[in-house]
This record gives sequence, structure tokens and C-alpha cells, in this order.
Amino acid sequence: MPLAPRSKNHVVFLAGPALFTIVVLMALPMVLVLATSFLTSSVYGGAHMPVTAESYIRFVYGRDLDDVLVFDTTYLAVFARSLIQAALATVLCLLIGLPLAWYMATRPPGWRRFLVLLVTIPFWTNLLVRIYCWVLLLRDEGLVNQVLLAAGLTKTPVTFLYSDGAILMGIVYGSLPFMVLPIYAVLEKLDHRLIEAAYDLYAGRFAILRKLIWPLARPGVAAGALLVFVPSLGAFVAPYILGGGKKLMIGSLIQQQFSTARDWSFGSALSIILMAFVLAGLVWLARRRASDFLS
Amino acid sequence: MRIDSVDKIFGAGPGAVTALDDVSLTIKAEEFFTLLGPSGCGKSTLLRMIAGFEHPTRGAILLDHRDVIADPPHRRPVNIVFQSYALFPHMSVAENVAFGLERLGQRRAAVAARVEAMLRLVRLEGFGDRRPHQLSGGQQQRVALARAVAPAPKLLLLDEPLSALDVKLRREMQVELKRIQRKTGITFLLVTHDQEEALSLSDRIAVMEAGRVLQVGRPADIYERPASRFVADFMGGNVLPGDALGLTAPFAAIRPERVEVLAEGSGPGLGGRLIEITYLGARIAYTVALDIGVTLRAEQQALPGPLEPGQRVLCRLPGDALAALEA
Repeated sequence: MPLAPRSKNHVVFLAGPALFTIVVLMALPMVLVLATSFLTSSVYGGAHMPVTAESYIRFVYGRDLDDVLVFDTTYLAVFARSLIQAALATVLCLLIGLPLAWYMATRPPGWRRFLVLLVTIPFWTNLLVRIYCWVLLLRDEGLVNQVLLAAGLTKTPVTFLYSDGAILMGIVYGSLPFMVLPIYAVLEKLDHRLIEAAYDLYAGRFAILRKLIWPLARPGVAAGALLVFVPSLGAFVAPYILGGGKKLMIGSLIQQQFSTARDWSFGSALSIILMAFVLAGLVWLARRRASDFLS
Repeated sequence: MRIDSVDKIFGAGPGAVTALDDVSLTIKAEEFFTLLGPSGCGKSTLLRMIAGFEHPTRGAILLDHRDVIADPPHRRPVNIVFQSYALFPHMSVAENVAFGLERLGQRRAAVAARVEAMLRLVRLEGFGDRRPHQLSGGQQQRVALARAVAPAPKLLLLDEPLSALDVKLRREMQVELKRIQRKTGITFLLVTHDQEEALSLSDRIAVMEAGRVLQVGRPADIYERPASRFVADFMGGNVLPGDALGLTAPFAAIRPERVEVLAEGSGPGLGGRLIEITYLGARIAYTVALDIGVTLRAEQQALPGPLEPGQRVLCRLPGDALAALEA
């Protein structure tokens, strides 16, 4: 059969896999989640008619004994905690990641490749396993406490686990590569002669950092912050394992709705709310950057 | 500005490379001084050392009678125009020019006025709001110059500043450089491997090779009276053995344009065979294989001559055009 240039068919053929991925594997599940959030949960999982906004109402209202809606901050508090944890994780990742990326970017090329490899090593193992390792390290009989006891720094084991701090540490640990790599990518391309030029023009170390490196690294920092903040907001492995389910975050809350609580509708509603929040934030950021660019 | 027996050795042990070997120079105030030499001769290392990016292994660098070796680059009243321009890509032209002034803590109004004056000096009025990537190579070069001149340094270092420009633009910028140097009265120290550029711009030239300064002098001295075979050859001159010319010195140099090429039998001179004739527009270049075993280059007014490649010729070397060389 001759390969006639039937361009229309070719386009469909070439775009097919991408279209399939986007429509069937992404858009369709989204529609399902959206639909489920407006249905009534079945007792053993799943959802059925009638259509209702009950799940969304429950996010901000509780019902008292007389079935009257009362403003209830339980879930909002979970949401707020998630926001704070994600924000803290982003800031911590930046504080650790920026100097680390700078260090990596200023090594000789061979060293650089090796260091990038080291940063990506955690990706070779499942996050669940890695977080569980932290439990082994941080628990009362864990390595950290053994060292502290042996060094005489504490008489009784320190309880690290099942706290906001432990969750935060777990999130920072898991997200750090996502901050380091984009910043490294930007810094690696930074022309060393620019630094010499600034140094020559009476700029000290601090001025070079503030006036030259920071502005040029900002796109990498923005990408890194986004890659850390958004997944941290919905993180559930670290909160579930290191928080022991005591300190709820929105990711664990959603996971609970689909497992133990068997409230698919509410779980879906929470997912949609989270997604809408992130999307609104991104649109706001994009607009702001667009206006920055135009001015 | 004085450089006192400066050495620079990179590395240590058997792999060590001597980049500068006992270099001493004195540069006068308001002078246009050029370091001329082939790539790898140490001229850029010396420049970076004066700026503060390299430390000498031995020796002193004095600026206004004060040794500045211990001062980091941002504490030296010296600015550099980089070969790659190194303009800050995230800043406008005006912000680039203002950078050094702001770091020196000058008042906003003073900075704005100085930036304006600098852009006028390099003929870039109205370009203040542009970004470097929106400018042509020549314009970027001017911004780099304005940025380095703005803080009124005691010494302006220029590291092959024109090498990235095409020939026509380079000629224009050479004129500009000279004009700006005269107007600002700043001492310029230029590094280049382009002999013509060095000759046309400099008050004085230091010719360097393999980490050593071979000769320092006015352009005419360097050109007409080279002190060594290397300088003569590097400046495009001919080097001949002294005994063939009846001199006591071991070698002698002569400029190609001082050599007369005549048909054989026209009188006394060195005999040889004409190998090649190159038409250069206003001039004609002859390459002659002399009977004494040396190849001689000569340049003459482009007159339609009777000479043909391959024929025997006679080269006349006027005595006053010969520069005796010891080494």
C-alpha cells in the first residue's frame, strides 16, 4: 500500500496516543470524580442518585441533632493545616535546596554529574518505603534516640513521631529533589563571567547574591516552589505514616473517605475543592507574572 | 600604575605552568597602554591579575604607589570591559550602566545623571530602557564600555574588547575607544593580539611572549625598531641573518614596505627567485626566496610591473631601514 500524504488521517494517527492519554486517562476520571462529588455515597463504596451538593455543604457545615446546618471548621482546619505544612515545607526546601543547588552548580562538570545522580537516588525506591525508614529512625527505640541516649544528650527517649514536625520533615525529605533540580538547572547555565563583572563593579558577595544570582535563579526557584508546594498540599504518605493518622492533612482525609470511611462522594468533593484551590492559585500566579512581563 | 617583577605559576610540581615570568611594567596616568601578544602569552592573566581575579605567585601591583594585591576585585578602583561583554541579561541598559555607581553608594539623582552622560558618551542616548539581548553586538560593546567607564576608575582594563566584532565595526569602535579615552582622561590598558589595533590606538605598547615582556615602546619604535626576532616577526617584519648583510649583529629586521624588489642586474643587493605575487589593492606583496636560504616578504605600490613569478630578482635593503637584533 503506498504511503499517500493523506494529512488528515496522519494527524489523527499521530495525535491518537496523546488524545487517548488525555481524554481517557485524565479527563474522564476527572469527570467521574466531579460527578461522584455531586452524588450520594453508597454504604459499601461507590455512589448513587440522587444528585446533591451535600458533600460540599458538609465541608463547611455540620448538622446538629435537629438537622440544622451549623458552621463547622473541622475540615477547614485540616485544609488550613495542609496549607501551612505545604508552605513551611516549601520554605524549608528552598532554604536547604538553594545553597545545595549553588554548591552543585559550582563544582567541576564531572563532580556535577555525580552530585545530580546522588540527588536522584531517592527516586529509585518507593516513597512509602523511604518514609517507613524514617519511622525506624525516629521511633523511641530508633537509631536517632539511641545516639542521643548514648551521647547523654537526653535521659529518656524523645518522641519525634506522630507530630506536625515529623510530618513536615517527611514532606521536606520527599520533596527536596524537586526543589534542588530546577534551581540547579538554572544556576548551572549561569555565566560565571557575569559574577566576575559584578565583582569587578564593586559588588560584594551579598550584593552579587541579591542583585545577580537571585534574579537569575528566580525562574528555577518558582518552578521548584511549585513542584514542592502543590504535591505537599495533597501529600498523604508522610502524614499517614509519620503523623500516625493523628494529625490529619487533606491528603489523608481524602484517602480515608475512599478506604475506611467509605464516603466516595465526600472524598471526591474534597479532591475537587483542593484542585480548584490549586488551579485558582496557579491562574493568579500566571496572570501576575504576565503583568510583570508586560510592565 | 606599576607592576613589579610579577610571576604567576599555575599548578605545582612538574605539571606547573609559568604564565608570567618576572613581568615589570609602568603605566603612566592618562596613557593608552596596550599588551600585545599571541594567545597564551600571559597578557590576559596579567589583566585579570590587575583586576584582582588572579593572585600573583610573586611580585607586587602598585596603584598610586599602593600595593593592591590584597584587595579583592570589588575594592579596586579598576574596571574591566570583558571580551564577552558580560552584560547583566535581566537588567536594562541603564541598570547595567548604573550597577557600579549604585554599589559605590552614590545618590539616585547622581547615578541617573551619570548614566545619562555615559550613554551620551557612547552614543546610545534613548537606549536606556532596552535589554541587552535587544541590541546588536556593537551596541552591546558600547554598553559594556559605558558600564565600566561610569564609576570613573583609575584604570580601565579592556580584554580583547573588539575581537567579536566584524572588521568594519571594529574600525569604528577603535576610533570610538580613542575618542572616549581622550574625553574621559582615564588610563586605558588594552589587551589584544591584533598588531594593527595596537599600533593605531596605543600611546605605548608592551609586546609579550611566553609570559615575558619582550619590548615596551611607542608604536613607531615597536614597528620600526623591534628589539628581538620575535617582536620583528610578530609585527610582520622580515628577519635576516646579520652576516649576509655585512652587519656585526647576529640578526637584522626590515619592514616589507622598505624592501625594494627589482629585476636582476639592477645593481647591488640580495639575489633571489620571486615565488609569489599577491595583489592587495593599493599594494602588491612579493614573496622572494633569497639565495642565502631565507624567504623575504616585500610590499610595494601597486604599479603594473614587469616582474613575473618564477623569475630571478634583486632585493635592495636600504641601510637605514635595517634594525640590528641581538637575539
